[in-house]
Amino acid sequence: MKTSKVKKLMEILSTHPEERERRYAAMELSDFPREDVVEHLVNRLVEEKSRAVQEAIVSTLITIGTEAVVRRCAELLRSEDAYLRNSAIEVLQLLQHTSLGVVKELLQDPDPDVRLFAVNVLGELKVKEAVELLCRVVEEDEDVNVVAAAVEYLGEMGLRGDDRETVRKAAERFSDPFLEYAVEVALRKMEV
Amino acid sequence: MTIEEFVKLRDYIYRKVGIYFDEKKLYYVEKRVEARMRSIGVDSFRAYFAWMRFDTSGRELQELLNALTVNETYFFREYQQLRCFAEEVIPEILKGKNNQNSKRIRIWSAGCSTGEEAYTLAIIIKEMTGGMPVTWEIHATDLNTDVLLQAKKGLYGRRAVKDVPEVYLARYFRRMGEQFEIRSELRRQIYFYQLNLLDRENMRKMVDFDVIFCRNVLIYFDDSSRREVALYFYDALRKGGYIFLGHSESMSRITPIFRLRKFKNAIIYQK
Amino acid sequence: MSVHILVVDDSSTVRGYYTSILSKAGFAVDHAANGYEALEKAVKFDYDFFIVDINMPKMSGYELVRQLREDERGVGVPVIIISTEAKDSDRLEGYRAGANLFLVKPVKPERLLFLTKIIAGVR
Ligand SMILES: C[S@@+](CC[C@H](N)C(=O)[O-])C[C@H]1O[C@@H](n2cnc3c(N)ncnc32)[C@H](O)[C@@H]1O
Repeated sequence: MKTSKVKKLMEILSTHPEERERRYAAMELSDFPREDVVEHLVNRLVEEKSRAVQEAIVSTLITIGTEAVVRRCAELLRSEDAYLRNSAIEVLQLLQHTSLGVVKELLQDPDPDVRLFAVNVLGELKVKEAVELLCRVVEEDEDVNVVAAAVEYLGEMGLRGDDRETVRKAAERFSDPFLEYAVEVALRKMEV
Repeated sequence: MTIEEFVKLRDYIYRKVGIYFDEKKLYYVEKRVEARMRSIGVDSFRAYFAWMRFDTSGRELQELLNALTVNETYFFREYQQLRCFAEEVIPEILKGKNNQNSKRIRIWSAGCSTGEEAYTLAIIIKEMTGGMPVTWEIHATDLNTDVLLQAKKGLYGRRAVKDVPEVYLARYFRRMGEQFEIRSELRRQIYFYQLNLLDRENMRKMVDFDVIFCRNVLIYFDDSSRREVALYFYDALRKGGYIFLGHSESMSRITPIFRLRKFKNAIIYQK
Repeated sequence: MSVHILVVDDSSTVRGYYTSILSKAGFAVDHAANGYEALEKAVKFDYDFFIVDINMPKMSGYELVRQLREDERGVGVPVIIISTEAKDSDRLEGYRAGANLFLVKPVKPERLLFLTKIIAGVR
């Protein structure tokens, strides 16, 4: 019973000529947090031409919110399509705790843009581990933009003494006016 | 109420209706839960929460929601927007229907609270289309069943009507001592009923609207529920239909699927 | 009359950085945190110049520029894209969307100011 309903919804999502039907099929799939459904949703997200249907798929992925969603969305961070990249970040951000493991791996990625995405996700996570990871980025990452983003988030989280030290030192590691600015702003925010 | 209990209840409510209370609202929620506990006579949160969840009729959840929602509203709220609706949007809708024999306008006041917004819209449409071959109807929905009862009564105090222009007050209200009663000719064209904006099955039945007003409602939702509701609205609108959000609200952090339209008095979202 | 610039970036630090550089030089600077918010502001106010990031939630920089160019009022408005994305394909997409210039982050203050002045046609 259930399986045939899921099948039908997936079918509608991929082939129905009416946008509205595809949108509702996408939303209804949120009742079926299965791996094959996630797989299908992400594939459709990539292929689908209508932004409104894509938005419905993103909404469903967030509702499903499983490990599988996180894993598949992490792959989208490397997409050529900016909408897909940014939707993936949004999903990872909203799925906070489920994302943490994947995000940790992404922090080691050779591509600085992927590391930057990982920092953007971490910055929204309100857990202690996120602070530690961001500090490590600030101390070790080789890319100015990645470090500056981590500095910004640490500033927003408003932190303890040694974190201030970490942030201050970042400015010395690179000599770059943008990073200097970021550090200055973050330290000012941490004061209050 | 402990923070753990608060989080449990908060998450439960969030899953059911999309309203999200962050930790800062603990006191607000606690006060209202305590009042509910007193009125049904249970003395622990655990007992109350169990009672609510196992009450299959959903009655206690409804009672609690009635106590928790913010229902502040008044007639002719956000005047500039209403002017835009009256002077620019309604004429545009009528023009779009020029080739139809019977022109019919369908409006939805989503999160109508005690009804002031819906009646305001009724007054405006009546003023703008009087004498024209146009019929119209307004659907006014809310989650809170108490406010809907009040809305149907159509009886308001001074404060609610303070922004109603004198002429309209005379034309559409009947003075009853300190209160003002909406005339029945307006009431007949408004359908008040309960609807949870996150209820997929029932949201799907909402179709063919020319305009949706959803002002000062989504502010109580979190990001992903907002997007979900916005998508339902998209499907509830006719092609070219309009959405009015509260003047401090914006689709820009919700979803980019609506077109932006600049009018003299406001920026409006359009399908 | 001073040139009115809209800075579009989801990072408040980046927005603040450009603002501090440009406002010192006499530009009037306004902000938006994503492409859709930028469009919303652009409908309300007429900006003379846009500085736009690529990766932003809800609406990317590319899409913003494309939509700006579709509207008659936005056809000739100068747009600089400033992004961390630095591949040739990114530049190509930026120019195709209609950007006048594509820069890679981080940008040095003198360079940003110099290029903004040239493109905006002020000395
Ligand atoms: C502040 S009132 C807004 C009234 C009116 N639209 C205005 O702008 O004056 C918000 C209303 O939204 C309703 N509401 C909150 N969550 C809802 C939901 N999930 N579904 C339907 N209505 C909801 C509340 O019950 C409340 O009456």
